[in-house]
Amino acid sequence: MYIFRNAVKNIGRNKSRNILIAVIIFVIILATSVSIIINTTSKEIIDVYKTQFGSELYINLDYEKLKKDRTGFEGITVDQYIAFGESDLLKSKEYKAFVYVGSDGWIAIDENSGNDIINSGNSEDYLPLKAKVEGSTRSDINDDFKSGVRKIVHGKMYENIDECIVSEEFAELNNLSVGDKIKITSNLKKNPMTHELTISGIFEDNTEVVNDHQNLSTYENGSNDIFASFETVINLQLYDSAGSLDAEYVLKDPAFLENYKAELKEKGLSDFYIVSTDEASYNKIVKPVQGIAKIINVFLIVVLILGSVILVLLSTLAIRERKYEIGVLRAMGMKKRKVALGLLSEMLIITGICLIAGLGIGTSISQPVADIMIKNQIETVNDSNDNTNGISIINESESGGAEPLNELKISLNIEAVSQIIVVSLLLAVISSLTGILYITKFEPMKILSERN
Amino acid sequence: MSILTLKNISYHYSGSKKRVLKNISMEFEPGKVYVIMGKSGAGKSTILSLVSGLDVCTEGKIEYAGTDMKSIDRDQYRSKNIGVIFQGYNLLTNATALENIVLSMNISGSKEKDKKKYAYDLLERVGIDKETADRKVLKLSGGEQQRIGIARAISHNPDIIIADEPTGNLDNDTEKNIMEILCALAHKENKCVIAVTHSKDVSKYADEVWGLNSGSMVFVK
Ligand SMILES: Nc1ncnc2c1ncn2[C@@H]1O[C@H](COP(=O)(O)OP(=O)(O)OP(=O)(O)O)[C@@H](O)[C@H]1O
Ligand SMILES: [Mg+2]
Repeated sequence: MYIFRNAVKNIGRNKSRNILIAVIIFVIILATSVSIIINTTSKEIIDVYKTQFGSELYINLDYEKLKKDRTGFEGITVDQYIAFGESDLLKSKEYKAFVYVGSDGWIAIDENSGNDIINSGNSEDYLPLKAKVEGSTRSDINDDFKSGVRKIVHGKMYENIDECIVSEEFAELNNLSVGDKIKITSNLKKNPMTHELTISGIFEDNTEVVNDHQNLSTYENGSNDIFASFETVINLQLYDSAGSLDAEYVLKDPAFLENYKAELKEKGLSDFYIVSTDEASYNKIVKPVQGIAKIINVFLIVVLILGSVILVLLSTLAIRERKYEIGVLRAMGMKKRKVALGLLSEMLIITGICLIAGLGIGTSISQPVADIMIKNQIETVNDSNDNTNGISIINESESGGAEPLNELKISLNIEAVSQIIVVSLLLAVISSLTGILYITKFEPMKILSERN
Repeated sequence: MSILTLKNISYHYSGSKKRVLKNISMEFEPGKVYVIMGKSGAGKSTILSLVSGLDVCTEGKIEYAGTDMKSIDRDQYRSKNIGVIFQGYNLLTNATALENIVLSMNISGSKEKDKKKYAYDLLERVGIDKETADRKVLKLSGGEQQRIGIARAISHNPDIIIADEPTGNLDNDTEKNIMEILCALAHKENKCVIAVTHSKDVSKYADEVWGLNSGSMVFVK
C-alpha cells in the first residue's frame, strides 16, 4: 500500500516530467478513443446492414452456362420453390406468381397502339397477351401498395379465391365496377383455358411510367396489372402452362449462405442456377462506412506506433533522472519488484487520469469527426460510381432505392471502452518498461556509484 | 558473540585488477563503537558497501549472525538488519526529510503505529525541527542532509549501524551530539556501530579503532 501512496506523491514530486508524459499519453488516448469509437460504431452499422441487405437471397439462372450447353437443364417447379422456402436458415420467404393473359371481352390500356403485335406471333394459332395476373404471398402485395403509390379506392382487397383487383384506368376503359367479372385466357386459340375472375376492388395507380408507351407491350404497362391472391394464381390452369414464379428468400444471417446453398442442392436445385445475396445494395450503403473504418484503422496504427516510440524515448531519457532514485530505494532494501511496481503504479495513475479525460473528450468529438469523414466518403464513393459507370441512375434503381448511409450515429459501447482501456494499460506498461528493465538489470551499488 | 564476521575477504571492482581490500579478517560485536580510519582512497567506503550488503566480496566471506551473506536475502538485510549513513547521503532529493524517514520505515515493514510522529521525533533528536523536516531534501544544507541520513539509518531500529563519514559536514557541537547518539545506541541499546572517519576527534568515541592501509586492516587501539 505504501508503494501506491509513494507513487502518488512521486507524481507530484516530478511535475514537469510527468506533465510531459501525461500530455503525450493523453493525445494518444484521445486519438485512440476517437478511432475506436468510430470504428466500433461503423462495425455495428455494417453488421446491421449485413443482416438487412446481405441476407436477401437471389436464385438466378446462370446464362453463361446455359449458353454453352443446356443438356439436363430443368427449371424450378412451384413445389421446389415452396420446398426451398421450408428451411430453418430462412428468416422469411415471399413468393410472387404471375402469368401473362389474353382477353375475352375486354381491352387493355394502349392496346390500339399496336404494340401487342409483337407477342401475337402467328395470329392463326395465337391470341395476343394483354395483361399480367400477379399473386403475391405478401399481405401488402408489393412495395407500391405498401408505399401508397397504388391504393384501393373502390371495393376492397381480394380475399377469396378467384377474386382480383384492377386499376382505375383499366376499369374505366372497360366500364367495369366492383362485383363485375372479367375473363382471362391463354394465348392459344385452340386451348384458351378461359377463367373468370371477380373484381373485388379497384386501385388508383400513381406509379411513374419510366419509358414512353411506344416501346411497351400492353402487359408491361402497370395499369393493366391484375392482382389476385397467390393461391388464385397458382391454381389457374393457365399458370400451369405459362406461369412464372419469383421467390424472395431472406436468410437469418448472411453467414448461412453456404449452408443454404448446400440445402438447395439437396432439394434438387440444378447447377444452372446461381444463388447469391444482394451485394450491390449492400456495397453501396456500406462502402462509405467501410472506407472510414479503413482510414481509421490506419490512423490508429500510426498513432499507436508513433506514440509508443515517443513514450519509450521519453522514458529512456527520464531514466537518467530516475536512476539515482531507483538506486536509493534499492540501497534502502526495497525489493526489485516493489520498485518496479512503484514505477508502474505511477504510470498507471497518470494513464488513468489521461484515460478519463481522453475518453470523455474523445466521445464528444467523435461525432463531429465522424460527420466530416462520412461526408467525404460519400463524395468519393459517388465520384467513383460516376467515373466507372457513368450511369448512376441505373445504379440507384438496382440497389432497390436503398439510400447510402449519410449519418453515423456515434455511441459508446462496452467493447469500445474495454479496447480503449487495454490500449491505455499497454501505454502505461510501455512507458514504465525502460525503468523496469533497468531495475531488474542493475545492482544498487552500481546505480549509486555511477552517480557519485 | 560477534554479530558480523569478516573471514579473509578480498575485493576488487569489476573491470579493475587492483585489489582494494586484501585478505581482511575481523569481528564486530554488538554494544560497541568501531571506528575505521584511513587515507582517502584506502578502501573505507568499499569495505562498508560489503558489510552493508550492497556488494559481495570477491574472495572470503562475511557472516551476519553466523550466516554467509551470500546466501541471505540482502534486500531484507539492508531494510531490516542494518542502517547505513552514506558518505553521499543518498536521500530522495525530491521528497521531504520526513517522507524519506517514513519511506525507510515502510520498506523495513516497521510496525510503528504513528510513523509520522515517530519520524518527527527522530529528526528532532538529530537536530532537525518540524519546519525543516517538511522541506524537500534538495533545499537543505549538506549538514542537514547528513543528519537526515543518520535519522533514516536508525529509523527502523537495525542491529548494525554503519556510518561513512557521519560528521564530515558538521560543526563541532553537532558532531559531538551525533556521536553521542551513536554511542548511546551502542552502549544503551546494544547496537553495533561501525563508523568511518578522518577525524581524530571522532575516534575518541570509539571502543575500537582500526586503520585501513593499502587494503589491509590494522588494529590501532
Ligand atoms: N566503482 C568503482 N570502480 C572502480 N574503482 C573504484 C570504484 N569505486 C572506488 N574505486 C576505487 O577503489 C579505491 C577505494 O575507494 P573507496 O571509495 O573505498 O575509498 P575511501 O577510503 O572511501 O576514500 P574517501 O576517504 O575519499 O572516501 C579507490 O582507489 C577508488 O578509486
Ligand atoms: Mg569513502
